Amino acid sequence: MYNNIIIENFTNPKNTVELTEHDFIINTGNPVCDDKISIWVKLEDNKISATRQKAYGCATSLATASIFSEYIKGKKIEDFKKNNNIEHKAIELLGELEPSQMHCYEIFSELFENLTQNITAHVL
Amino acid sequence: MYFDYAATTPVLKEIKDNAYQLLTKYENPSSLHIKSKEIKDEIELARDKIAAFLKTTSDHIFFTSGATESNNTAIKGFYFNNKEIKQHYFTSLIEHPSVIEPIEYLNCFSNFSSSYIPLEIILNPYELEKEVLFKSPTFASFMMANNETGTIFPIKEIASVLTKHGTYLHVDATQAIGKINIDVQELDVDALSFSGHKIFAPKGIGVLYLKDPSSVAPLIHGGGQEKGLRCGTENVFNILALKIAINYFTTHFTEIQTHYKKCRSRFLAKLNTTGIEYILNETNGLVNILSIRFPMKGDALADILNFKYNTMISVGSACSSNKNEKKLSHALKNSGLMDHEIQKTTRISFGLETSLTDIDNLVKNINNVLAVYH
Repeated sequence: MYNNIIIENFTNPKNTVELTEHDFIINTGNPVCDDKISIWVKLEDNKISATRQKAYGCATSLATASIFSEYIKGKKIEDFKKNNNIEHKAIELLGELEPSQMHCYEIFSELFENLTQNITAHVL
Repeated sequence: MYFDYAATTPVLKEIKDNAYQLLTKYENPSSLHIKSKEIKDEIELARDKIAAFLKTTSDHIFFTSGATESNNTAIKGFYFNNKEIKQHYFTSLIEHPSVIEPIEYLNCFSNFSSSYIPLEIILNPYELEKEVLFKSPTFASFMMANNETGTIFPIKEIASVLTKHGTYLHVDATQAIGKINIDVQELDVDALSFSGHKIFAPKGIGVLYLKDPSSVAPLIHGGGQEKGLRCGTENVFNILALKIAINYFTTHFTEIQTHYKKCRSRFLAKLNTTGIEYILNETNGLVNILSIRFPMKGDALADILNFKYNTMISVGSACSSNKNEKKLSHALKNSGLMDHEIQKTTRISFGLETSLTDIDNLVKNINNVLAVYH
């Protein structure tokens, strides 16, 4: 079924409140299962100061959006210059997923890649 | 809170109250003891009660383990009874797997073939007759009401077309039982199946009505129980429990339907007050089933309601990112819904124990979820 991290995050999702201002939005999705995630990002003092997430998809996708938005909040800009080994981070943060939920590891990695590209374009 | 009565129902209080007493009846109904004879008589009284509920006589009623077995017996039993002649079966792609799979199984026999008839043809007597004249089916199996959408099929009209051309008609009434008044003689069907657990009896009991009991060959051979059609020592507890459930529905049929209507009206009225966006997939179906789309994926909504609010509803699809394993409901797909509509579909079904307060709380919970995710 679902691990406890996923249940906690789809039942009590983090960062759902609209931001008064943001610097950019990152989007990703899965065209086969039609899942879509958008993350609003606010940069301040060389770090991600605030995030907002909105997701359409299965419960694991909804939880992934919540977990990702919480993971990047407070992250320093300079951290994006390093190798973040994001595939391992996805497994660590999402926990063990069932085969039908594993596409969320990819979604997590795609979101991070997308975020890194945006930060590079905006700041680095 | 439980809103999945179309999947199964809790056991009726009247059955639970009598359960211990029913379980003391352990003697084999086929034995010669006085107690055995009494139990046999009680089974026959149950058969009478069920026959009366379907407006027929008890010699047409056979007990099985459930609707799956009843459907299999009608479908495969008719073929085995007529296996020396070429057979062609009609069915539809919105049937339950316990109808589709036995027909698919029979396709391995060289003198057997089958056709899936599209809904628009089933629902149009003129088109259905053209199809019957073209393919000359020996047997047809159509459901009385769909388990996912609640769509009701005009069985009487379908039967009049099929019987005119000598096609044997089997009807799966599993979802319709207890919600539609079934008169097998007026409908003029050849066979009809249902299970007890949809009408507040325990799981493991089903009924097969046969207009002509010799029209199907048995699938289970043995000691001659059920006039040799379904051998095996009778499931006394479940048969007598089903009698209690049927008795309850016979006595309270009108008020049960009124209750279902009240539940449906209350749910839709409450939804309308919240401003929640929704679309009903079926507006004239079974009164206790709502096949309804909200602006989020149905499986996610059902999971959040279940884990956060202990509220149980059902869905038309399960998530899969693999296009080869897309688990979309075949019934919804063949009812004409697009993939993205099926993904949003949920099924909410009401039962005897659903209260108006439960319904208000369900709407409140749906509203809470959509407030976060829409």
